Amino acid sequence: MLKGSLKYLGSLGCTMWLILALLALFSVGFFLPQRALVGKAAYLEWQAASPLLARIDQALQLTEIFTAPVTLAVWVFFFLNLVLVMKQRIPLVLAKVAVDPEKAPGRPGCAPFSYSIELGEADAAGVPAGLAQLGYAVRGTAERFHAVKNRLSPLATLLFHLSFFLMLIGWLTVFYTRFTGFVDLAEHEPFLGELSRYNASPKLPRAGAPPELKFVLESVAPEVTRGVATDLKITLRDEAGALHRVGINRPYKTGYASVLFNDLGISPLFVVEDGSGREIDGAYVKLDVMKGKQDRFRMHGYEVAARYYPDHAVVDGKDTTRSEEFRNPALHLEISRGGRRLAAGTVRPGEALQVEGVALGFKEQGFWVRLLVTKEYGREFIYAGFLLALVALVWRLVYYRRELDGVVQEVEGRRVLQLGARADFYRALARDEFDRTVQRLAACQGK
Amino acid sequence: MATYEALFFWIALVLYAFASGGNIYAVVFGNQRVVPRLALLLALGFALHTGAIAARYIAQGHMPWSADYENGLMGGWFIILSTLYVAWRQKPLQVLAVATVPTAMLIMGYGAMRNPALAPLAATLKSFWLAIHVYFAWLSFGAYVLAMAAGVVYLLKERAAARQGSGTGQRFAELAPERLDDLMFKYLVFGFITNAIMIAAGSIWAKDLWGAYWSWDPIETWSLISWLMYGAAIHLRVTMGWRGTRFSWLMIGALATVLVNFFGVSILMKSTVHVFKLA
Repeated sequence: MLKGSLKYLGSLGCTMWLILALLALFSVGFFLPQRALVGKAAYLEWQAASPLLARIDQALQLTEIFTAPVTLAVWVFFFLNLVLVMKQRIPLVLAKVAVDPEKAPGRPGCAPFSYSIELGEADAAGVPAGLAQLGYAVRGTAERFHAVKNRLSPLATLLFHLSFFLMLIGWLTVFYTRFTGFVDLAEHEPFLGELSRYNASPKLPRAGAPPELKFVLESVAPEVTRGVATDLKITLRDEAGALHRVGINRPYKTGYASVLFNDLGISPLFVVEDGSGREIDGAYVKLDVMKGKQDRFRMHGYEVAARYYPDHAVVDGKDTTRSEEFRNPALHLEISRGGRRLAAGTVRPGEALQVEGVALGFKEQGFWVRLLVTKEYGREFIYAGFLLALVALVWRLVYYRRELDGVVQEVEGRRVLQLGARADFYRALARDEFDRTVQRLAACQGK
Repeated sequence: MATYEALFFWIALVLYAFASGGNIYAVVFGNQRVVPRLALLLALGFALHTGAIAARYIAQGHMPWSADYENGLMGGWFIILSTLYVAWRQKPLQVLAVATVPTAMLIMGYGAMRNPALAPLAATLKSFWLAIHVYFAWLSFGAYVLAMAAGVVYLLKERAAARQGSGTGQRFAELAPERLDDLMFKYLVFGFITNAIMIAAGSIWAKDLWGAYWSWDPIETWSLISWLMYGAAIHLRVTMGWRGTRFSWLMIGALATVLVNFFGVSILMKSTVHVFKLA
């Protein structure tokens, strides 16, 4: 029973079924919204609205299909199948690449393509030399030889399968060592790598330690052109005082840790002054108000709702923005206390809103950024796996193996070189190539 | 669209339409003589198509490689380039245009209906790895379309031969079924390798942009489905001997996965991070 199962698991038919199973599971993941993509809140909402479907989903884990037990089981079988197939293939491939100089030469009758070259008085020695010029390794004598081009190409099959294991090792290493955390920093704000500074809870590695990063966010300079975010320059200063430029697509990398840009907001400096102009409160406030969102903050006992206009204009008596470019920033503020609205108005940098004898001033506009901090090991295995897979594919499928067997025979008193040719994968295209090769060899013989 | 871009684009599309119609006529009525002339028409359309890309490049200041229209513009250009290249290398393969040109027109037309407005290049798309990713995506797409076209011509010839008529079977005699069968596999191999590079480059880009090599985003998932599909096709061919009719249908069917990846995902999915919002 076990022997039979293992035999089937190591079969090429099983490989096909496993690939089809993976295709089916990935299709489920594609067509059914996955929890990781739609977010927890949206999933809980759907769960409440469709309890029966949600129960089915919980049982089968269809909305977490990529990490569901059924998917992991298929992956386990997939790699088991690879191991068993490789175990069978290794001796066959090694036997194929190790051409026996005693046994190999001269089997033209067995090949799919056959040719004859009349040698006449010419010496057959030119044929092996001609083949060598075309990249063939020739074994045997001019009278009886075996020529092979890309002899080691079948080894690439094994390398291709090996690359999957390298990628598996890389993926497992990443999975167990990965740390991710989001941290919001305003301009000039330091970050000392404390876990408590990360938003919510960072995802801690199952093995290893979180990154020990220390830096100050020196400046943030976003660039928007015709409504498109065309650039973002973030400058970090590390412990040693060195400056590092971070941007979209340009993370700050130190060792195995990376710091990536994730989100942008404004952090205006608000100051509360009394009637005499004395500063009684103030702070840089991180506001999530981009793209028309409203955000709230508290200052000096007041609740303040803020809406942001990067390129402020008033149209038909209403605040609006002409573009997403930061040309003429303004904030619409609504100040309340205990649910009672006290004042409202739109202020630009340097302007203030009066409320109950004090002034809430919008002194200057800075930015804050949400940075994604990651750390993981294993990238060397993943890169090596990708590279090996590519090399193996090119080696096996582009530089495929061609073989020629030649025997010189006496036919009706004439000396004739009988050639048999075969190639991996191709028929018509291989025949074209062999035709050209034989024509060239015949030309060398003066025919 | 820029003025000259629009002019070149639409004239190129009209020329492609004429070339398509002519090729279909040539195949259906077995008139082989018109095919070289149609190849010239196609080359003229391609020159204008190139002009449209150049005009867009000048107007925008960057290569067109974002959003549906630009994918269609460049994807179509690579398909026609592949068609002309194989036709230049081997004259009998000019007939592959019967399937490749309509495919190019389809994706270009679809792109033109989406978002052809000129726009600066978003910061998310300014990456060396993106250039590699997109370039190899187009190469693989072009190769897969050629494999599909070889499959279509194979089936047409087979059908004509079965009817013993004087249609495609005899007229395109230089294109032996065995040769078409090999070509399908050759294009598949080229597409599969370039597709693998596309996925690898995309993963490296994703790591710098989103912080992870792979996130099971719908586009990533579907590109893996597509790659696995073609991988399965290679497996079926090499180890199980799939050839001829079955393999032709497989090449035609597998192209659907690529088309979905290029255009379908942005329609079907709202949650993909690959929809790079311009504003």
